[in-house]
Amino acid sequence: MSEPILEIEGLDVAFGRGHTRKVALSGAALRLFPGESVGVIGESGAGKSTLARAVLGLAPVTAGSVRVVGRDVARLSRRGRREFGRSGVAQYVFQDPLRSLDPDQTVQAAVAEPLRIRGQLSRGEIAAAVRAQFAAVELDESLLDRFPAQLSGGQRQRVAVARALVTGPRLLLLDEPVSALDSANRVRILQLLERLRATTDITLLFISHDLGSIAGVTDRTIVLNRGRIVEDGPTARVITAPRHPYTRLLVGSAPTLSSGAADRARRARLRAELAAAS
Amino acid sequence: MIEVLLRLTSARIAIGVLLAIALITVFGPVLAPYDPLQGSDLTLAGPSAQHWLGTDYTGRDVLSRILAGAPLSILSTLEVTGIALVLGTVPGILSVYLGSVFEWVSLRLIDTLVALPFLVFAVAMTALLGNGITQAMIAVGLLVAPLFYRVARAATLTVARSQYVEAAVLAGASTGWIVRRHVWAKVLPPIAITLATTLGVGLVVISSLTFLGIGVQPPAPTWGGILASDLDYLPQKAYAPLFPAVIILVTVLAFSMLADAIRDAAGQSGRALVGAKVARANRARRVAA
Amino acid sequence: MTQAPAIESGPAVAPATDAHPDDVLVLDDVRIHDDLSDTELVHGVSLRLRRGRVVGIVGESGSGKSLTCRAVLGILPDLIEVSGGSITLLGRDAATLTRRDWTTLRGASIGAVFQDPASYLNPSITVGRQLHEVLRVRGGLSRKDAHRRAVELFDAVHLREPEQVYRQYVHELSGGMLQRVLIAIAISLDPEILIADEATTALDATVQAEILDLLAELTERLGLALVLVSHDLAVVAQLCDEVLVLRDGHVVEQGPTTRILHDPQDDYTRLLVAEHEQYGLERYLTPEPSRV
Repeated sequence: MSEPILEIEGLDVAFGRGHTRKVALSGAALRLFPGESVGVIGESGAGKSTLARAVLGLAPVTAGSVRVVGRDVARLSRRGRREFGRSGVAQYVFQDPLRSLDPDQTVQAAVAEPLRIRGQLSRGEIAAAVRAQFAAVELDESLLDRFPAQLSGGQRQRVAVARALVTGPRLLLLDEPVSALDSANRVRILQLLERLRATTDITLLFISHDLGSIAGVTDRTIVLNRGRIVEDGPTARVITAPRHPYTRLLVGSAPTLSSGAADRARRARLRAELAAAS
Repeated sequence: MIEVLLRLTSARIAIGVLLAIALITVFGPVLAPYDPLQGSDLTLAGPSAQHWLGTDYTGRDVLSRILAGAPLSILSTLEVTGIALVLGTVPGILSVYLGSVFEWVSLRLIDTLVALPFLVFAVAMTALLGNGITQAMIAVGLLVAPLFYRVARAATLTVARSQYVEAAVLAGASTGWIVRRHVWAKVLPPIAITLATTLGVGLVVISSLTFLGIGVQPPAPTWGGILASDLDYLPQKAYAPLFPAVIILVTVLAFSMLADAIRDAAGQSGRALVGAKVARANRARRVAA
Repeated sequence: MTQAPAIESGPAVAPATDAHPDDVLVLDDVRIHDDLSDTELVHGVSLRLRRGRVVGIVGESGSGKSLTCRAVLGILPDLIEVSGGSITLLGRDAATLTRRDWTTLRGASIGAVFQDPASYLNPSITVGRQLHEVLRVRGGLSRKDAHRRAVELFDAVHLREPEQVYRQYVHELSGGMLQRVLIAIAISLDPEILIADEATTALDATVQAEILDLLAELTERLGLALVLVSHDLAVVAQLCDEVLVLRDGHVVEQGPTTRILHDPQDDYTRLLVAEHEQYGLERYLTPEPSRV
């Protein structure tokens, strides 16, 4: 088997000190291989975002290691962090493109920014790379000089994806990338990710509170509950035969077109089961 | 934002007044019909064809003194604001980025400046550095600086926590890059509002200092100085202080109107302000149809 | 593309003529207009809601679903007004209501919960006091009765340890608990209509299901008429008898939930259904999902 893109071992993350100390993740372990698409699901506060931040070297790691393409990012120096960032190996797409794009910057400048910070390419080369990336995410070139506020939500999120892809990352973290979008744009972003997977060997880590969108683009799902990984397996198995009581409740709670009043009693039972288990 | 600003009536009035004040500042001394320092036998005269605003206690033409006093009054205000702007904004932005030591020290310094009683500080500064316009302006500028510091710091903090800055950090951007590319543009609008407010405040402060004899020395005319000397002769000419008072008031008002307008134009309420008239017209048309 | 199908399904469901004694809310071709841009934002919404029934409105942000709710509550934003059609609340024409009528009506006859519960509560007063205040001022209860009733209501919305929640502040409660508090406040004066505008959107999946289950229970137990608004067709489908699909201010489809889900006529509704089938749980779940 090839070398893992991401390798997390015994990861503990805690915020604060003394009696305000809060453990966000404990004993997390996981390996992602090239071309995999892995979903991470859990409640808010379950440690999803902390996991993402740990992968980016932004979380206060107290134990364990996080290796991205063989490099430990858990304890980077200021300079090491900058170099890691400029390498563009791991990129991040935030939930809300309106907040993750500078309102005073044209979208062209936003997509070009990672390349300009890296500073290896000439102006012309950067412009060409930005255009190529725009085409890849199906954005019209006429939008290049617009500001984020002049685009629709879906277009903005595609700009954010273009910014993340422009450095040619091997690992792409997506933190609730479709939660703020409407149906048509959600489908479009998910299609975009599907195509990306088909044409490259990029590894996706897709974080969401919505089991539905995870089901759409991942082949493996990790369930986080109270800072621990409680389930890790093929998405189809996690959804059709969940093992942990929390996962069972989660699957039972996800709104589906087929669910109805009958599920209420079942959910009540699942809640009791989870309460008994924890 | 500029277009919205220019559609607000209050902004247009304020800018008009300020343009007029600017003209007076530039051409005031040339326009003055008399020598502002040359007294005459005609003391404390009322307004007349020769002396539109009358004369003061040594027979100097009040209009000439107000016109000739404009450059000194306005320029010293600008000086104060300029000092405050630099001493406040730069450390305000840097306090977010230069680490906790700088942050702590600068915050305590600013707290100290806020706690100092204004007049005592100004008097002490002039006693220490000598009584001159520049010294007085530095004193006032120092005391106004916390305002800029706080506004700049607050604006920078918001930007520093934003996701687009985080995205830049993740891409390996340096602090300098982030301040230049992302922070600067967000800090400017609130600073512009503070600037307009401070210009108004500065004028009042300079005038009140002159009133106490700090800074500008008589007989050199300033608006505050004219007001001070007029007040000594209230029994003889009760309405005399009105002229310098009105020009100070109008200028301050124009600045603060501009500050309000900038704030409105920058915020969401701009829509309702600009829109009320349009909306009424649209509604009338719709109801009629 | 967006208008045509409304004609075949719309009038069949909500004919404006024959009134039913159980009708609590009737919208007849309601149009909403923005006076500033001089454009119509909602182009005719008609619906008829009976006691104990649930009607769902599905649409994206900007589709006009929230404006429609706000019109029903009499809280449209400045410069935006109802420009056509009629809203009948408990037999009264909304257009004839004065400001004072609205104040009496809101709370006592019609309640509402929205997306971000924390912003509707005062952070410096305990949540119990806030419900207490409503019961005292609007409900006319004595201090003691108000307290008792508040704890009862917290219990009714399934807040565990209601006495303790009574004494807690906004920052001490989770989003799901705050939404329960707001539901308790909304139903405290026994209104007949409850509007839930994206009330579960910001919540976690399991909490969303809890709140939806609670709303379903309240409609059954109290005979509340519920208007459930969401961008997610699946959320609405769970509870509603009838669904309206709004897009850009047009009702593109309207009818019984089962019909909309299984035989969508409009392209946009089809997209909403397809989204779930291709990129949702339905991909993995068999048509008979009762295996746990």
